[in-house]
Amino acid sequence: MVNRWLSLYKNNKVNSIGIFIIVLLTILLGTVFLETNQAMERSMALVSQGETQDFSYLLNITADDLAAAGYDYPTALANKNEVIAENYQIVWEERPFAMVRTAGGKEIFRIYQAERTMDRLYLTAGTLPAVGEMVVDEQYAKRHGLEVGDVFTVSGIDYTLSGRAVFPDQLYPLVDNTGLQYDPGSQAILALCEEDFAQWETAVNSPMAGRFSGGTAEENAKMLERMQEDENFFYVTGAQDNMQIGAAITSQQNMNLIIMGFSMGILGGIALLLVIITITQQIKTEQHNLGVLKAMGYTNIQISAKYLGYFFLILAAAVIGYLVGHLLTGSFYGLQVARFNLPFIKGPINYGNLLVMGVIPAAAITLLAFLTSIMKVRRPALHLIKDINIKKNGITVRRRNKKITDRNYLAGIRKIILFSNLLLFVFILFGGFALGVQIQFAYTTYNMTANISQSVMEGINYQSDVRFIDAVEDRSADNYYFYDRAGKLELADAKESKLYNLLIMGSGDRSLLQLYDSQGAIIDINEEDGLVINRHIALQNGLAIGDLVNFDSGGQVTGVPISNISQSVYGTTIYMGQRAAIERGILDAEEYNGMYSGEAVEFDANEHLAIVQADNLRESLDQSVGMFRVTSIILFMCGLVIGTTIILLSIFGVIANYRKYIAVMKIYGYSDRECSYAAIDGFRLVSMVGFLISIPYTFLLATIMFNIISAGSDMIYPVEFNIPSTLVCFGLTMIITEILIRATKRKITGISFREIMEH
Amino acid sequence: MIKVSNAVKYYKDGEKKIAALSEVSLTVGNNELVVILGPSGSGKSTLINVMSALDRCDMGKIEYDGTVITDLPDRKMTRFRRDNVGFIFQEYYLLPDLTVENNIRMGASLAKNTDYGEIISMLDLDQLMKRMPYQLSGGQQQRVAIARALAKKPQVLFCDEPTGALDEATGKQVLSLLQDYQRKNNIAIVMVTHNQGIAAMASKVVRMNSGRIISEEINQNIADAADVRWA
Repeated sequence: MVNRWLSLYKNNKVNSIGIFIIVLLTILLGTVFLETNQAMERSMALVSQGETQDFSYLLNITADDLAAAGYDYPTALANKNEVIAENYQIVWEERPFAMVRTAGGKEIFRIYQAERTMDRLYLTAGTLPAVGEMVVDEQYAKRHGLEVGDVFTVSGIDYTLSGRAVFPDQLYPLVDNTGLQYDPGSQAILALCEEDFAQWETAVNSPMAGRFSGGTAEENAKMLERMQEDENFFYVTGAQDNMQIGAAITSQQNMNLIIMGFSMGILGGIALLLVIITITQQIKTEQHNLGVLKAMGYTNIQISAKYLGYFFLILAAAVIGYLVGHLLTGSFYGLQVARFNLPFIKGPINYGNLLVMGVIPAAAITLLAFLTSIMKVRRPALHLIKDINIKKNGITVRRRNKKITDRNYLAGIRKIILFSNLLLFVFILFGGFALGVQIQFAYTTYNMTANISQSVMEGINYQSDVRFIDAVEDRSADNYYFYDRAGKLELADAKESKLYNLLIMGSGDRSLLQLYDSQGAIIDINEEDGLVINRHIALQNGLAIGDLVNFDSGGQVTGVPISNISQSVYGTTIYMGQRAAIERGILDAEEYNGMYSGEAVEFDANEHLAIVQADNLRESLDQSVGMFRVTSIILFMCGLVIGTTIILLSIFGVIANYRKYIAVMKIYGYSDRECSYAAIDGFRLVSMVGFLISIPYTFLLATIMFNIISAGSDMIYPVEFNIPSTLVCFGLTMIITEILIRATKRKITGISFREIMEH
Repeated sequence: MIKVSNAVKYYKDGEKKIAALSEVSLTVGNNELVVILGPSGSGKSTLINVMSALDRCDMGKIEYDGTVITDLPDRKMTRFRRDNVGFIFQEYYLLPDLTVENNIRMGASLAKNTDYGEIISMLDLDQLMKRMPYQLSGGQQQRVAIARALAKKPQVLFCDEPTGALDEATGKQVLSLLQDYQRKNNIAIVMVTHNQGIAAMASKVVRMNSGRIISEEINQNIADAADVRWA
């Protein structure tokens, strides 16, 4: 039996290898993305055993609250928390932290207290710290080779490492307050015991972590909505919407799912088509023998049963693809979560995955191929033995025949060959299409990341300058002041947007921050009568210039029109001129709580809520687009391998299908070049048509895919139709097709008169 | 005139070398009809393959009117076939996606021959020109194959069992057509067959066995194709 299968593959070596490669790559890609998502799920499930918070919030402490607490801020905060806890049936915990910069500001540490009632640390090694001890985050420890018992020095104080941990409320860590993404090379989250933590100075406004005391998920979701509408909160963010906890990971998982579905859908279709074509060709080659078997009394099913042997080829490729994918998952996971602080919990071989991604598709493809073979051998035995062609030619072929003249003979039969085998035609079309989709999708992703960087940085002209909030004393002439206030937009349909930062900009030197409209013209904020929002906010909320919205900041609601839309695709900041803000009653008078500065300013936890440096913003952006770039390179490489394989197999398919045509032509004295012109060259055009179809398809697919990702993030992923990149992809497809056609012309040279003379 | 001198051709069967042709020598005149007879495996097909420049012999040489074709490079061999020879096969090998007319054009376009109406009439194909091969009987298909070969205006026509797949009446009809054309146009025909009866219409009968020519007879009383006794 094994020998029978092996001879099946041997007789169709090239196609068998092609099927093997495509199935292997399909399952490998699918496995890597699927199991990476599953590993993320496993890690999050493990980490969440530490009672991960349901939400985080910041309270709105009013003058009345302070007066009632004798103007003692901590008392006012505690009192209000008690009231809130009772109203909403929640438990809460303050989450103070200290920020430390060392090594000339190059290293940044965020220090927390280790003892917690929620978001309890998930220890990957050691124990919680005692006095003089410290726990360091897992990624930093891994990067720096830190082990339990090592001494770690922070600002001149030595601590012994008691453990390594993952912080459940910092899975996508925010170490710095500048918006800089986590970099385990220079940033760490540390935890100290209560006594040691008390020695460190913490920020004034600490966020709170909260959990619902009971209730179903649905009830709690409604409760969360109510809290978000409550003016007692400055903000409330659910864990799933919190970038540090769930949102970033969910976004990554969604992207993986989309890429997986996209790759497996296309590649699975290709594998099926290839198996059917292979069997069809094989039946054509072996039809004499099959006819003899049929004449001897074998049934169609018995004859076709040998083609079930492809199941094992596909299964072997799927199993190897799965196993290689399973082995690569750890590395890919590491790549995807490089900016996360998630442990990798290696899963065992998942037989469910293997069944769903390997065995079932292999069985389905084989079954369809088997049915195809039954259809193909359902001819009278004599027809098979004598190769009697009862093929009824299609209308296109008949029509093309009429157009052939003595002058255009070769060109005429070239067109007939093109349209005479629909399956091959579709396969080649699909080859060009698949190559086009894969490389264009990769290119679009890569290109888009460059657009994002350019578009985000376009309005920011400052060099080493900083933007900071809550430091308004230094009013030197070079600085530019603004008022920063958080609030939501109430839209016309009474829906409420997420929380945005309203930046009210005063007059002065605006060269530090410049907004541009969609045409690239500078927006003069002081001439604007309403809000200026960015493209992402406009798209996310369905807003256009002229729409009227209510800006709700801590219960103070002001009606204001959207007066302009900036071309920026990133961020949650909305803008307004100071004059308009005062006229509309958002500001009582000229007020400032932040400024842009051309000077280097050191972060001071007591003075600044946050400092954003232009370099940090740039670096943060590079980090966030880096992952897309890596993914696009992987997709590009896979696309090249798969697309090339398909086109190569398509050409082999054409040559195999038209061997007798070519042999007869050669016997009559047609040269190899003429045979190639008639039999193969026309398919170059078909492949290009496949590519052309792939252009709108890829654009549409990428738009849908990135819109899904955009919906859960603070950024539009601007998929734009890019003519140069399309031309590059087109050129690449042409070059690949041309190389393959030229390389396979030797196959034509190899076709001899023996094809028919020794029949 | 075709002159085959000491042609040797080996085929490999695993490690073994089998001689398909052993020092075969033969001459075919410019307007001769030569029939090569012999059992299966006697080397007759191999002989017409090397004579028609489809294959090369391992030793010996083939000359056409004094020009040796044995050592021609592939490109020139193809050119030679294009300009000089035509083929008719037992299984017709019409291209299934082409109409009768376009199958015939396959030969005609090589010779840049646009005046093949006479051949079509002679073979009584006028009414079949728009049909596809699957719509024709075996005899009709073979007539199309002959038209395709003749439209190429060959100097030599090689026929490999041209009547092998036909009944006696159709076979005789096909042979008559070939004989008429040969007489009218003074071309050479080399025909391989199992059918002893066909030998009666040949000017020369060559019998082969085990890769050798065992006899070569000149036929003084050439019969008409229609009168040959069907074996």
